[in-house]
Amino acid sequence: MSRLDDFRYATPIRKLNKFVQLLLALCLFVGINTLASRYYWREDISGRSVFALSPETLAYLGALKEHVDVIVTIPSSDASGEEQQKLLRRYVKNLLEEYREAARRDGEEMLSVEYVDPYRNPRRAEELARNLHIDQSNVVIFSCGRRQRVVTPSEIMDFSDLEPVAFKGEQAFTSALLETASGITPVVYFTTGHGEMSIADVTPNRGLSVAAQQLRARNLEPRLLDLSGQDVPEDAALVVVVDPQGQFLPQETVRLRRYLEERSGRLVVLLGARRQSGLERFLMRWGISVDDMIVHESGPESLDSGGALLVRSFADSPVTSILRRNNAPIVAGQARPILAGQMAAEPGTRLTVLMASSAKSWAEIGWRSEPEPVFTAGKDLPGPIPLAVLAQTGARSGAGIYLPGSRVIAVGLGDIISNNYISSFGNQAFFFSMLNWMLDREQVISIDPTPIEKYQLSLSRKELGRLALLLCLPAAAAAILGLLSALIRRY
Amino acid sequence: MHAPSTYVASVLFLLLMAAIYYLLLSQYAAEQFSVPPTEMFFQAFWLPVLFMVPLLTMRSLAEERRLHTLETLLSAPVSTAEVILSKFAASWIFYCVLWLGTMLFPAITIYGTSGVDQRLLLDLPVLLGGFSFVCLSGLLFIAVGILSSTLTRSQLVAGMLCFCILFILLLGPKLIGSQELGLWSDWLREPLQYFDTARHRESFIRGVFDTRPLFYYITNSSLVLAIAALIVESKS
Repeated sequence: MSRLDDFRYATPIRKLNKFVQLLLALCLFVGINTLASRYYWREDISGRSVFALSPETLAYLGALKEHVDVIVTIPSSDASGEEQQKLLRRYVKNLLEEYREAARRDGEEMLSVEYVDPYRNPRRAEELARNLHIDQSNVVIFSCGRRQRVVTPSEIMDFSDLEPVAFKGEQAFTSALLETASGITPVVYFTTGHGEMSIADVTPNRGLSVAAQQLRARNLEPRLLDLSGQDVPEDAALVVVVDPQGQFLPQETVRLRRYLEERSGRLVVLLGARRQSGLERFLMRWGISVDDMIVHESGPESLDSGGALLVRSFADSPVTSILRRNNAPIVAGQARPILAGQMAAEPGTRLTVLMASSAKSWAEIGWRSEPEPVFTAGKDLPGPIPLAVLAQTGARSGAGIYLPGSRVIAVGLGDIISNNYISSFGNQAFFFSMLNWMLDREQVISIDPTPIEKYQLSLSRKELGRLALLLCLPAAAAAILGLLSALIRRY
Repeated sequence: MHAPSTYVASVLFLLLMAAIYYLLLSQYAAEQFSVPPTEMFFQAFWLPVLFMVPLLTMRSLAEERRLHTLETLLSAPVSTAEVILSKFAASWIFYCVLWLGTMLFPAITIYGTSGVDQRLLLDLPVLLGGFSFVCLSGLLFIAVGILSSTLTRSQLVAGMLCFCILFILLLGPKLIGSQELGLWSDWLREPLQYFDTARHRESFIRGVFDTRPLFYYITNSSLVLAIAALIVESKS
């Protein structure tokens, strides 16, 4: 008899055998599942998914060269608007899932998605604020190397009366992906040397530090520009003038003009009241008149509790459509009129009034001499007063292709992007919508928004009562079958 | 499957599902939602699973061991694996049949009402996707129930054990994922997504075919059943 057949050895050997079997089964299970999670086949066979990606997006994802991190800071619940929050998170999550899957190559993730709930994961949220300088909730951050782009809810969804009506996540995410993965960071120059508000200033009234931080979060680089000794740099994507207190010198306006005319430049001028900037004559060439007047509002709906102006009337233009859809006002300390078409502009210039004050407002001409603002018929300008004008040139080529020229936007609200007011939804939406349009960012990719459907059943109380009984039918059928079975077994 | 308790369990299951469906209908009658009602119905699938699967499976082997009939059963010309597989198949088929009963709810609602948008309730791709997910995930859940039943002679303990394991399987990945994991978060992200039942359900309902849940449920249920067979063999 072999020793293995000995009773003393047989039992432990059998136990060992079982243990080895179990271990092998576990190894097999881990191996198969690891392989299955890395190499798989995934296909949308429904053909009707809201979240199915367009061929254009799939091509971009397939060509990703660097790893992209996506961080979603939409809380899983929010007492202020739970249903809306849930909807946004669900749509974003489902769409990003498609992005993540489509960006996989040979089992390697080229795009990873992390969800950070600032209320549940405060430590991670703090870490993000420290490393990426992002302290906003409700945003989606695309980060690739040192470049990052923040996508806000208004870019992801269209709202009408604060209700979500269309989902445009794919357009927003693919654009953000292209901006961050392309390796190009557009430079936005803020002029300096005339007492303008500064991107380095952190004070509430004259500082633009918050706006600068938000520009960086959108993969834009803000820089200062002193035009007294240099031309507009070659890498300038946009020049912004914010509420100058002193006057631009003639040679400086010449440099600005050369930038616009010879390089199809883009310029945003935010002008406060009570000051002459020296840009008045320069803007006239574009058909924009900046008069030395102050806009006064009299209606309570156009003034907030602190006396700041609320601008609510917007044109249906790409720059202001977001404000119209959301019925969001722009908040400003003071306003001056910006008129269009008063002067003959350069041929081929198209002018659009972007916003205006209320019908109850007026523009005071003699504000220097009159101690109290009072409307004087025949002298003052009656409302509504235009407050922002967009001027653009462009030409159609022989082949019928539109060649964009230079663009200028003049706004008679000097402080709307100051640290004081930039946190207002309307101000932020207007400023970044204006920048996106100026930089052609919204045309990076064009994908139609998907309408957000709402589901409701039309059921009366009576019908619901009847349904309460009818829905019990399958259970009743099972009970009858059980009784019959019991009776058959008994007899 | 002819035991009275089977019919009692099926009646209770169908009543519970009818109550869930009725509550859903009354909510959709009162306000608007951004998710179709059929999708919402499958979102609550974990609730019946947590209660029904232990009830269905806790008797299967624990009772045999308590009454000492397992030895008699194994003395017949059948292998342990065959016994385990037949117990598993009986419970799984019954589980699927019970869920099939709930597929009648949309038809009953349309029959019993007038003016309800049929497309909302009889959304066939969602119904098929949801039912396929229930059947596929049921493989693992029932296997877990069978394994629990092999571990003890007490039905109650088997049921409780099954409930706990299912709770971890169904809600564990989500609960762990919502915690601050620090350095572990990068390492754990992908496995948690792979094990996340809610993610699998979403894919099926949206009509996305993915081989990962297939592998996950089939290989895991096979492993669990293999362990159950080893345990029965070692104890018999």
